Amino acid sequence: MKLLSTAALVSAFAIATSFAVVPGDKAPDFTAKTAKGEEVSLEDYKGKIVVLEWTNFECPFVQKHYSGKNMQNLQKDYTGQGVVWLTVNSSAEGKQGYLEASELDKKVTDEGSMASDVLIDTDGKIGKAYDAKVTPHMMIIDKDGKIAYTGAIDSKSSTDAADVESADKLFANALDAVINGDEVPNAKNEPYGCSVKY
Amino acid sequence: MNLKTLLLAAAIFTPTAVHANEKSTASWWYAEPQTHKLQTVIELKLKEGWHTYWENPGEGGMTPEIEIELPKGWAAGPIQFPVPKRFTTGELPGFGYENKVLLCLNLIPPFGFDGRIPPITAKLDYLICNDNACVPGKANLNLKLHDESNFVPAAYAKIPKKLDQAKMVVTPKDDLLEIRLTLPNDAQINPAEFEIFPLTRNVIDPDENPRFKASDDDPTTWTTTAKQNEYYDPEGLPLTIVISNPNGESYQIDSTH
Repeated sequence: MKLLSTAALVSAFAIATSFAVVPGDKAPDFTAKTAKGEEVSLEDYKGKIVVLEWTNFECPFVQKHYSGKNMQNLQKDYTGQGVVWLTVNSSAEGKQGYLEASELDKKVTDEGSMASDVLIDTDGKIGKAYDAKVTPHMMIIDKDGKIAYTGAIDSKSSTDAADVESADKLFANALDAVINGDEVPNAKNEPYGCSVKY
Repeated sequence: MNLKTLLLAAAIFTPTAVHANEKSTASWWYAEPQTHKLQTVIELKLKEGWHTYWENPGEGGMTPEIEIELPKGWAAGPIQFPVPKRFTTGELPGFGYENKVLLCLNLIPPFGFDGRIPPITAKLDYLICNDNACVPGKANLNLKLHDESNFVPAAYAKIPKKLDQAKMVVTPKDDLLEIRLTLPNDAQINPAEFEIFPLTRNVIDPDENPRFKASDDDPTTWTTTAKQNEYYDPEGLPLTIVISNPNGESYQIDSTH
């Protein structure tokens, strides 16, 4: 595994644990560049269900869900149902998972990602506005632009792809509920993974 | 060469410390055989600047997990963790270990055990992180006899002891938890001198570092308050804490629900 060796200064501006985003809150607006160099805003997806997936392709928990194609299958299934799927890379330059736009675009293509777009959030503004803690941290925004889910992709906090099948599908169950207009089960739970490398 | 000899040879010639990734090594040791249980220690060594995680890893991170290939008739207990330290990974508060940690694990031999240890292997999964990166540790362990007779007992001596005579009551109040600890009159410890670590996940906010204060009106009672964890569920698991003082004494205390 390639490790970035650049020593980064620890941010002196450690953010206190915030309860910034909870289900029912209005989803914070954002505008960001995609890995393809286009500009997108949350507003562009008004009236649609939007998934935010925080990623860092060097994080073993992200690799767990990409190596076994779990993430790609979820992306394919749900974008096929009209859901907008935005993968967000909040790794700062010099930190694990940071990739320049063209490298990131190549990486997601190589991984077979079926996400609608991949957002570059090198300064961490979107991640911090949403209180994204780990990779993968999964969030769902409903058609009314409100947070419907923030939490784990599933119930097994391991790095082993073999655990995916037997795990409770926390995120997929929530997204099914949002699509069907049902009450979202376990709408806020503890996500597992690597800390987002802000 | 028969199968038994092959297994023995494999056990002897496999390296003791396994490079689970570029930043850490893992090895697995046992003490001189005992009749009712075999005390074993998993030794994780980390390069400077990296940490691995406690049973409650805090936010992010991962609890080490072990899968043991147990010989027929053998059983295994859970991993027992020594007192962790507090750190942050990026901005996330966590609990765990830097440099080196010794994790303890009991193996129970079958009835009629003759004292000869068969080859025993295990797969250990853990995570190491620093501010910049997280790397998985996956180690194939072979149980070996440690040549220092005190190595295993010394590791076991650092596992927090259950403080059964303590009574701890946890009461949620707004976004706080009030924790009330009562000890018998003859208890030889002063909880005010101890650091508190929440062993149960998602009860106390991992950013908190509460300390007990002696109660003004009752010499056997100490109290503290701490912010509830963001994912706290009053119907969830009761709180267990580990407390440790600068002298290296440590205890585990379960709350009454």
